[in-house]
Amino acid sequence: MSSSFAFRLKNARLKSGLSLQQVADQVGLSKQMISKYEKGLSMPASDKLIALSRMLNVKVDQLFSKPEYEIGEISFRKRSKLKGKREQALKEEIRTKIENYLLIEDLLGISHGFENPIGGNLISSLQEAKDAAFQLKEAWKIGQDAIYNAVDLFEEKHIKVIEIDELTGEFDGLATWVDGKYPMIVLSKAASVERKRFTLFHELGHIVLVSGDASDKDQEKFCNAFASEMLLSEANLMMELGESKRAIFLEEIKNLQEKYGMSISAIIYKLGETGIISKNHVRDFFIRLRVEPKFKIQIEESSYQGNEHSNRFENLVLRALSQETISQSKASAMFGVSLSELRSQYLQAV
Amino acid sequence: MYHDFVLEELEADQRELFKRSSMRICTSNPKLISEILELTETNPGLSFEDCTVWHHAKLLGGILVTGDGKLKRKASAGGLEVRGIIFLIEEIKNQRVRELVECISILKHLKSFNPRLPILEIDNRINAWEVELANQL
Repeated sequence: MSSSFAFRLKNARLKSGLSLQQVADQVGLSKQMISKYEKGLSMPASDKLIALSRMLNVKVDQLFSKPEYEIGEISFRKRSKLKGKREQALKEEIRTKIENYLLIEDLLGISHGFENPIGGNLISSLQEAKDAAFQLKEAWKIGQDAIYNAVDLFEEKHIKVIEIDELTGEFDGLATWVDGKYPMIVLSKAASVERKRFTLFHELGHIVLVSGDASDKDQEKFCNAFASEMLLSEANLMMELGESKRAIFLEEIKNLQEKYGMSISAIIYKLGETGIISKNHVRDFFIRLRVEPKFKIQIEESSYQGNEHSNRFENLVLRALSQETISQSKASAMFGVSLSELRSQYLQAV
Repeated sequence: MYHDFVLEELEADQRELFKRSSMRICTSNPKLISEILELTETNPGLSFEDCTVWHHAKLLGGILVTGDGKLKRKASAGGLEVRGIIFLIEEIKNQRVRELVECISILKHLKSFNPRLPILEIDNRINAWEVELANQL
């Protein structure tokens, strides 16, 4: 019996959030039989396989793909509201996406190699986390200025970025390792571009910062400080606005947002942290944001014009298809679409 | 003959066309599925559905009809006769399933919406069939 089928079937069921009984009822089999399939003790014939794939909304091919990679822990941040079945479903969706990504790289003979240029430093304070941001920019030779597109930068450095449809707003992102060597960052597609950028650099912090036995809470703080510094360093902030200000105009902050891709709220917070504006000034801003709906809308409507979206996986699949490394049916399974959707959405010849 | 896994890859209206035809549907029992799985493990660029038709064509000693380049290459290398859609239309004409004029029109239609097909091969057939049609009249 196929152990990969047993593993995939169970994962697909968990992803759909259905119980054994619910699957059994809908496919017209007993709960015991579904359990046997999931334990690798029995294999269905094609008609039942098709019924299972329809119900679980996965292609038959996906129910048989062999788990080739050891994927690290997929854990959500402590503040995440995701619980139970929804959390399990999201984990399985992420696992499928990661596996497809690595498989297509393997089929194309692309290496996953990643090196952490600042891996030797132990981080035990916020200042060290900020210093690490400076050191990483130096090591990557990207200068200390604004980073236009974080996704492109990460992928160039062999950190894969995957986006998932998570519409509840309960998930921002996570970082994980595959086979203990290859880092991956998962992002919510629905987040604002500024949120995505902050999450990307926060998760990068989890990948490159070594924080020894720091508590989870401290690690989160270090990663936030690191992310903030990667996006807009204190030195750049002072260069842009001066060392101290009694008053600040919204237009000045919007200009920074446009240049550095950081949200207005995050910039205000950072201005307070660096002492460019007073802590009272920061507090007043956040109170106003809470009590003045018009002001809140004005802040929320202002956004960075850049784009943070990863096309790399899609491009690799299409490359593999055009050079006949994979079949159309395989490509449609990797994209999770039907053959006709593949043809209409992706295969318009020029 | 067509396979239920392949049928599943099609849209509902396409499935109906197959179901209404006189073609036979082919299914797989658990033993066959295990054999197909062995084929997928040595051919990671092919889907399970691809390997299903490949395996069944091998078992039945039949011709595999596909427009997919990867499947065509792998199955041909495995010693199987593999053909594409032009062969199918030719068979439809030769076995008089459809009138010659209809076959010409199908080829023209194919050429207009699928730029990946070999234009020269299609044109050669259209020309030859048009001559044949003129001779019939």
